[in-house]
Amino acid sequence: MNAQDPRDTGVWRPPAAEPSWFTPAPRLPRPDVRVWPPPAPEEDQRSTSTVPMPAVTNGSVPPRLPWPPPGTPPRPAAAPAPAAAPPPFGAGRAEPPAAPATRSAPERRGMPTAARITLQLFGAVALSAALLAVTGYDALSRFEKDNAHDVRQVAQGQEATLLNTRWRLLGVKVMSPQPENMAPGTVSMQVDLEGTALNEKGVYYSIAPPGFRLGDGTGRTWMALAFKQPDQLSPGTPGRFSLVSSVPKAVAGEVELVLWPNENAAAREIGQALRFDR
Amino acid sequence: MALSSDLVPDTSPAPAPADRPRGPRRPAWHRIAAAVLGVALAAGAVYAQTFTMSADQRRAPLTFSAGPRQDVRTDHFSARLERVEFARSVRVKRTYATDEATTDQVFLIIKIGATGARRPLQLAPFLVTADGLRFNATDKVNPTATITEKWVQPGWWRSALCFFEVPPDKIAGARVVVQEKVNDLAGDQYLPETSFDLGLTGAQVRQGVEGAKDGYEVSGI
Repeated sequence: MNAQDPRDTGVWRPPAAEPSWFTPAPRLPRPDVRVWPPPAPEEDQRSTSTVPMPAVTNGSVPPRLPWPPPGTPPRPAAAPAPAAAPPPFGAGRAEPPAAPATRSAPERRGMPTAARITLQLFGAVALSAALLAVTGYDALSRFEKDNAHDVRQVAQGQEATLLNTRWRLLGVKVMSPQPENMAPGTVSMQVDLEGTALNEKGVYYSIAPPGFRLGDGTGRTWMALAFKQPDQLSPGTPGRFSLVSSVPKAVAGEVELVLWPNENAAAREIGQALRFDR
Repeated sequence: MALSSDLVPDTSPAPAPADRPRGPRRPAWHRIAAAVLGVALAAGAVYAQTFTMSADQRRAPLTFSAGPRQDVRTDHFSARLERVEFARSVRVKRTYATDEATTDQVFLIIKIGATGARRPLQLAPFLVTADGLRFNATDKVNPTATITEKWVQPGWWRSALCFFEVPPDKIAGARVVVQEKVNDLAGDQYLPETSFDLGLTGAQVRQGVEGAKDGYEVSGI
């Protein structure tokens, strides 16, 4: 590496051989500069500022133009004095600032008191209503955002994927024989479902089963609990879930299985879900 | 108009405004009345702040109150208070074992019926005494025998018990509040609740506590 190498910044260089105090520095010597006493300001000292300021040189100052420029009408000596008593308090606020006019404008009359008070009341009520409306809309939109759900309808016999597992509904039927101690007017339903884990993340549904619900057409839902489920899920191997649920007899023919990723999501009805046609 | 005259402000002194003729001065009583009115309005605005709800009140659930044996309908569930009993000890019969819960005080046993409006839910009742003390359901009784483990669903009523371990002198005038069991950290915080007055006077409580029996049997799966 020699002194002409442009990549050599001189900050650090490895010793080529035996380091020595007289190893020549690669920097070029700078000429001596007088720093003290400060040199006298040069006659024509140019600034190094990058701010685009106009260069004003002595002797070339443009002559001041007369003000006001010739041709404009003369400024009125003073604001026109009010002819009569000052207007009532606040009456003149709505008026625009008086433009310099060549001739005195006709005197504007203030708004009538009743109209002014009505306008102020209306403004106060409108502002309060707007504040309440914005607050309520904010709270409502936040609530809806926090409780958003996305329920996908799955056609009969089709498969659908929910969180690393492919699900297929095998059947929804009235359980027979019916268990004892059923509440009057209710019927027990049995739902069979097959889940196939797509990858290693989908095998935990045998430990933490998803949230199963049966829903009717009007938005009411009922609990469904797995009474049979695979001991272990492995990717690619289908596992069978058997659910039992109690629903009113009137809706036994129409309830559909709704599958939420977990019990918490099912209780709050948030997130993604599958709804299987029967 | 030349550009340079825009950049360079006109520094020549503006002509001094002529003395404006002032209007007639307002009378003193007028000014005093205006000051009093202003102070009164400001004080009223400050006083109106005392009517605002505190943070706890704003977060409080919407309470539907009723007496015994009255159905209360909220947006999430309907509930009714069906029966109030006293017991010295509670025996929970399970499939292979029987748990016995005893107390130095008394067990207040409340039977609550409930049905859901839209979705299945679980309820968590608590007791509020006349002097504002709050009692949660006792943990001595296995929760499988209580309402907290039962699912309340739309379409039919379900009745279940809840057990409170309460000093007998606190029971008179108490009320039971039925709330949906929720996760405190997540979920809808604006939930309805129902409040039932037990309707027990001091004499009724004394009579009930004296007649409280041992070994109240209940089945917990």
